[in-house]
Amino acid sequence: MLLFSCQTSADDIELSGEASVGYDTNPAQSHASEDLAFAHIALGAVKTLNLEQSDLRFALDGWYHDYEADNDSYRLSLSSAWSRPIARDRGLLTFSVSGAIYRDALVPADARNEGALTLRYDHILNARDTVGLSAEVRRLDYRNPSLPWSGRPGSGSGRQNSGGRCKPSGRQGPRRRSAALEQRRNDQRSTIALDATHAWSPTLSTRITLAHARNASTVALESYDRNGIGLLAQFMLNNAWRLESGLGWSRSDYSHTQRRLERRDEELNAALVIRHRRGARELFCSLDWIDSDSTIDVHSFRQQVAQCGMAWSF
Amino acid sequence: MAWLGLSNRQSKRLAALALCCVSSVWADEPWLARVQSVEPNRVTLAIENAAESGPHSAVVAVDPQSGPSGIAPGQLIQVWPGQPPGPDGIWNQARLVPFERGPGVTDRTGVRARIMFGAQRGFGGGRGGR
Repeated sequence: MLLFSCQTSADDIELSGEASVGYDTNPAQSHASEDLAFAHIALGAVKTLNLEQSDLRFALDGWYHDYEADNDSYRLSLSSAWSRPIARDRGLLTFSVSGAIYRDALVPADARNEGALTLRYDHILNARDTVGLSAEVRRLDYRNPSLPWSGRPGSGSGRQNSGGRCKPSGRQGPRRRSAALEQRRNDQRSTIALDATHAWSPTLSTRITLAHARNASTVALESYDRNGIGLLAQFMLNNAWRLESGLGWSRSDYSHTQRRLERRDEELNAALVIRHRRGARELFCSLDWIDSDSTIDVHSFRQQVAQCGMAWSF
Repeated sequence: MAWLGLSNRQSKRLAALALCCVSSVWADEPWLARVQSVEPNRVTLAIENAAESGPHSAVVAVDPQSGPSGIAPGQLIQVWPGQPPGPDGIWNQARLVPFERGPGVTDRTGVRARIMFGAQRGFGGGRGGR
């Protein structure tokens, strides 16, 4: 696989980059999958101001996902985080504000603008254990109105072309009546998460996370409560090689459904990442697997993603 | 281990390997240490969880080529001391591990977001997150 990366430093602004290529069996996360190869590039710039008893960090990040054909997506985000150590540095309180734009040619219904407020507290319990508590409120304003019952592309909506791409919502011809029924979607997602990390040895640490999210949407069918648990294990094979393995499970209970059918989605995901550090550069390869089962079949999907890339960081 | 189809000799080798892995996993007790000073080839530490009979400070050697990555004076870090120091009093096999916390933690490939590594990193974000 083709690898490329660059990162430089200009004064006290850190510039970083990473690039990778890979293969995604179901990039739209739809019931009828369409696999696509992709190239991914990400760039970031960070400026940290060291204040008297706290730090202020500004970050500009962006990535571009270049799928086969005209199915690209990209995301730009700007964030500011204020963090302050407390309890003789054992605790770290972080408050951040962020905004992002996301555009998606593969699934235009997912294109959106986001704004988020996040509060996080990390605490070092002892030399082996740390805990963290996060709370976030995120507003998602979707740009393109869509039919609330149409499902994802490929799930039977009939809005997908041969390349797996969802066509933009037109307002001409036979679709005129559907277009009149399309709804604008604005979500407010509140999330709280608790995580605990334990270092078992110099080479092995694990992190377990419990999370709850509530999504309130102007499209009633998109409102849900989600509970999840995740486990991440990190193995430091030696100074150069690192292996990360993760397993997660979540259940989403939707508040409203069509024809009074209950909708409950259960998602299981697993990930394996191997990294090799060579000086300031890092090579990485990852495998991801997602199996999402829904009580409403058209919302079930499977996805596997394999990618390899390179990054350069200080 | 007959149910695995292993002979006695193979079973003993497997048990020895497992014992070796377990003993390396629960090897020594780490230090919670505050970095006093950072030099290109060594780091001086004050040990905050020092045992009564143990050292209260230590000088740890680091690879001068890679340096003490991600470590700054005043910072609290996790230290795995490894073998006792030599005659010069310098710990040569210690591993210094900064705690992963705060807004600067990297998440390449987004694996941590998908495994719900904290709310702000994308739990429930769906497509296009991170």
